[in-house]
Amino acid sequence: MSYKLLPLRFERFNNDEIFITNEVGEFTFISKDKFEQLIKCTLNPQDETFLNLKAKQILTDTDINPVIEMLATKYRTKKSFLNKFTALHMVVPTLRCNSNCRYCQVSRKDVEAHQFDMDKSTAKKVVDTIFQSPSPMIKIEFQGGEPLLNFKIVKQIIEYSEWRNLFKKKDLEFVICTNLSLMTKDMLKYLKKHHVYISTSLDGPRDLHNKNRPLQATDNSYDILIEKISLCREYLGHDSVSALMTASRFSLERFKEIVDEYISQGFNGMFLRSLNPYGFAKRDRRMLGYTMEEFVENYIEALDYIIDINLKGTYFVESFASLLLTRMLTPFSTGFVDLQSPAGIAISGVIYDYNGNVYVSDEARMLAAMGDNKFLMGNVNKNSYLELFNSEFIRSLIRSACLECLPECSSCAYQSFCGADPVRNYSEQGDIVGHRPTSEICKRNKKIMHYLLDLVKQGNGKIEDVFWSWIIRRPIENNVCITSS
Amino acid sequence: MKEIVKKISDNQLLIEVNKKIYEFEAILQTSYKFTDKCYINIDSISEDIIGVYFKKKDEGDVSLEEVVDKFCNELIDQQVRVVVERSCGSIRDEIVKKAFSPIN
Ligand code: SF4
Repeated sequence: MSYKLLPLRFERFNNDEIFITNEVGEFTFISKDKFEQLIKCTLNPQDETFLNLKAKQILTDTDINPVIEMLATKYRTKKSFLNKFTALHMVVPTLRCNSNCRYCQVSRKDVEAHQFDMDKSTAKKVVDTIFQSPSPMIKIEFQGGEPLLNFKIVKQIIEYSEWRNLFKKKDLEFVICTNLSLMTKDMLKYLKKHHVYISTSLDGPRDLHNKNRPLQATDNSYDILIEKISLCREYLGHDSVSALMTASRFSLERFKEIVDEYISQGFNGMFLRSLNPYGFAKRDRRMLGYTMEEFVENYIEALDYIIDINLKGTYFVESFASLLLTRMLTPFSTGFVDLQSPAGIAISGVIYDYNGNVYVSDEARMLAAMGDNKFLMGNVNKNSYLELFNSEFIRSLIRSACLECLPECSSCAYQSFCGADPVRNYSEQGDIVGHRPTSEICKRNKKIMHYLLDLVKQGNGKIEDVFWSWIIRRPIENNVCITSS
Repeated sequence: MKEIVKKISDNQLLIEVNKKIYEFEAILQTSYKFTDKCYINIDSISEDIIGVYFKKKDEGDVSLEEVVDKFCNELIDQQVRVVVERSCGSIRDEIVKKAFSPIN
């Protein structure tokens, strides 16, 4: 035997080719014959396939120790999101909401139900807890309900955080997730002064947005939203406002129109998100839901459309594809709370509910709103930081949320690009480990990753340029080819 | 392949897998992948043979013959994975250990 195999995973990619990847996500495609030779260790060292596999560190014919060192360095880089511990801290200043979203996933409360507001003392304890995180970067994201309905607590949290940060000197960022309908000029002046970003929701053209996300006071939420987006841009700058979409059944078959809407509203990217099975979305799934196959089919069609738009000269990013491509084509670390291994719950992101309850993720809070407190970490009014974040509950949860040891995931060729989500597994399938053969999320991830890899495999330089422009978050300049391979 | 597949009834098939060729881990991992299609039971038939029993689920319109054909192909892949893991598993452990050890 003239060479040694290094840890690898593989999958039959199509009738003729095998997709092979190593422990750090470097990959290649080889023919079935070559694969057989590879496994039997009979590949000719002069063969191009051999040299390619050697370059990708899928085999070695030299001293193995330097190769292990190099793979360990790459592995450390890929997993470096773990070094920082919890950076994303979502806070719910109130559960009250003036929206009437069809698929509300958090079981909103009436605008007059002030008992669902966070009080001053809880807000202070939330900030004290947040600032015990070892992460050098802290992002405080206000969620709802509609956070603007309890703006005084939002202000208190911002100002107290800034004060605490005078001593902690962390990279502190604020984001407010709002339907914008209650945004005023005074609020915007305040948000500008405190460098707060805005994340809002835009589900598509007027009729679709109004159907998915009416306000309680009016069905025409779209016109208010568009007017407020331009007001925010006027005060905070164009790039301070981003928007998210959620696809309901009404959105299927209309993804291209949704993309066009985002472009015409001056956004340079979007995240094509499927509906999460919580709250009203779960209750009314017959009317609002769809199969994952339907979503993926629409997603892929929209992705092709977006690529085409980029090829015609308009820079526009689809964020899910961009995340996966970054994992596939670069050595960088890309923690993403919903899709990482170990899972991002608690150790990358966490949510503080209006009453001080701390949940491992926003989805965990949504489950709690449906009466299931399975993922409650504790309460800032009763528990210390260590009790919340260093409990046996969190440790065991994270232990069972590593793809490296989950059934099917452990040997899956897509593992390096994928992630574990025990809360989703529990909600969809009744246990945190989940059952991959029937998992909707696994189905979605596999199909989308396969599609992206197929595009990469085709080696179309222009499409590769588009992908790289998404990865580096910059338009392709003067059509100069920036791909290296 | 046909002689290792036995029909038990209209909605039940059996594959007799040779233990000398396929290891239990490969059989288990393969079976897991098909648990969405039908009910699967694994049992020892003799010293050399493991029986994998496939039973149709009530819902759906699954062809057991098709499932079994795919199962046999997947079994080869899973056995290869077991072999690769045996030869590379310790290297993987070392990579991960080194990656998480303190940098001097
Ligand atoms: S969730 Fe599915 S696609 Fe992702 S690693 Fe696991 S088996 Fe593979």
